[in-house]
Amino acid sequence: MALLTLVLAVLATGFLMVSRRSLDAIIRLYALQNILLALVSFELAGGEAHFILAGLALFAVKGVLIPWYLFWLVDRLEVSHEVEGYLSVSLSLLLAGLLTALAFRVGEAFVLPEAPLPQGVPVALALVLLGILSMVSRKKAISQVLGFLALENGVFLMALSESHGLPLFVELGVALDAFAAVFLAGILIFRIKGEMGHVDTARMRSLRG
Amino acid sequence: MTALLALLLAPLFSGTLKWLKARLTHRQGPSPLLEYRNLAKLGRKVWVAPYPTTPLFLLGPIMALLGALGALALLPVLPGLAFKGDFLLALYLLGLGRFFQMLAALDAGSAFGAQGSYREGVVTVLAEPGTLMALAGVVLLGEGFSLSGLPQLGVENSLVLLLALASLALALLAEGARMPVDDPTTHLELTMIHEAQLLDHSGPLLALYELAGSLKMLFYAGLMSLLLPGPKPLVFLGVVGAWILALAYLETYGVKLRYLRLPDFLSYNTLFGVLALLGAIWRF
Repeated sequence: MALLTLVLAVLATGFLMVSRRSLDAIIRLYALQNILLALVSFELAGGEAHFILAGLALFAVKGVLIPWYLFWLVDRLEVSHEVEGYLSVSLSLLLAGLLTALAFRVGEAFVLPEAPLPQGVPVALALVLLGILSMVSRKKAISQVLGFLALENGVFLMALSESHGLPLFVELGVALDAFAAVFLAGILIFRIKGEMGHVDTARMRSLRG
Repeated sequence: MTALLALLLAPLFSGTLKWLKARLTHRQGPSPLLEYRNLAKLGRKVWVAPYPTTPLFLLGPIMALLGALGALALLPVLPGLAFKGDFLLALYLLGLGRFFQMLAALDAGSAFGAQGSYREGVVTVLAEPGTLMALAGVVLLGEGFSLSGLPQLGVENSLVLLLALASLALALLAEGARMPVDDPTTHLELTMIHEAQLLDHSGPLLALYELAGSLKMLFYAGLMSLLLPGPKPLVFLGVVGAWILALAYLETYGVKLRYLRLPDFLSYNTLFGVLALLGAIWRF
C-alpha cells in the first residue's frame, strides 16, 4: 500500500510538472519527485546494499544537486520565472491525461514475469510520455531540460519496477549522465543567451549569418 | 435520515469553520453554536422583495434548500433510499437547486446578481463533468450502479478511488464557493461569485440560502466518506472535521484565484474525472 501510494504520488508530481506555470514550482516538483523515487527504491531494497546506495546517490545527485544547479542557472540567466508554452494549462492537462490513459492501457504488456513492482510500469511509461510532452510543448530551453529530466526519471522508475534494479554502477552512471546532460544543457543555454540575447527556442526559426 | 443528520450538522459546520478561522488569526471568534441562533434570528425577520419580482425570487432559496436536502437524502451515510443510478439524481438535484438560485438572482434585476449568476454558471460548467465522471467511475467499480454499493478504499482499487476523492474535493471547493474558487467573506461585489446572488435576499430567505450552502458542502463530504472504509456515520463526521480544518487553513493562508484562472484550476477536476472513469473501465 505504501509503495502504491508513493508511485501514485510520483505520477501526481509528473502531472503537476506538465501543468504548472512557474519555473521555480517545476524545479521544486522535480526535486520532490526524485525524493519520492528514492523512497520507492528504499522500500524495494529489502536490505540489499546496492539498492540503498543507488537510492542515496539518486537522492544526492538528482534530489539536491540538479535542482540546486537549475535554480542557480535560472538566477544567472535572468530569465523570467514564468514557463511559456504552446498549450494552455487545460489543454496540456487534457493531453497529459490522454497520454497517461494510453500508458496505463498498454503498460500491462510491458511487465516482465518477475517484476518486483508491476504497478510501477504504467506509471513509468506515463512519466516518459509526460516528459516528452513537456519537452515539445515549451518554448524556453530551460523548461525543455526539465522535461528531459522527467523523462529520465520515468526510465529510472521503469528499471526499478521491472528488474531487480540495475547494477549499482549502471545506476550511478545514469544519474551522472543525467547530471552531465543538464550541465551541458546549462552551458549551451548560456551560450545561446550570449549569442542571441534570449533563450526562447520559438524565436530561433530563422538562420542568422 | 442522512438529510436530517446533515440539517442538524450544517449550522455547526459553518459555525465551527467561522470560529476556527477566527482562532487562526488570533481572534476570539464567535461560538460554534452561534450559527443556530443566527439562523433562528434570520428566520424571525421580515423579508423584502425588490419591486418588480416574480415568485421566482421566493422559489430560489426554497429550491436551493430542497435540492440540497434531496441530494443528501440519497446518500446512504445513514440507511436511506437507494436505487439504480441514484448518484445522477443526487448530483442533478443539486444542479436544480443551483439553477433556481441563479434564476432568483437574475430575477431581482440588480447588476450584481446577474454577474454572480453567470459566474456561478461558468464554475458549474467547469466543475460538473469531472465530478460526474469520477462518480460514474467509482459507481462502476461498485455493485448495483448505486451509491449504496460503492467500493471502499483498498489496495486494488486505490488509483480510481484516490482520483475520485481528489475530484470530489475540488468539486466541494467549487460548488461550496470556498477559497481558491470564491471567497465567502468578501465584501467587494466585483469579486463575488456565490455571494453576489444572495444580495437581494434577506431574513428567512437568506437563512435558507446559508443552510443550503453548508448542506451542499456536507453532501460532497458525505460522498467522500462513502468511499472510505469504516462505519459510515463515524467516517462522515471524521471527513467533515477534516474539511473544517482544511477549509480554515485554506482561507486563512490561501488566496483566491483570479476569475480568469479558474479554468486552469478546475481542469484538474476534469482530468481526475476522465482518468477515474478510464481506470474503472479498464480495471487498473
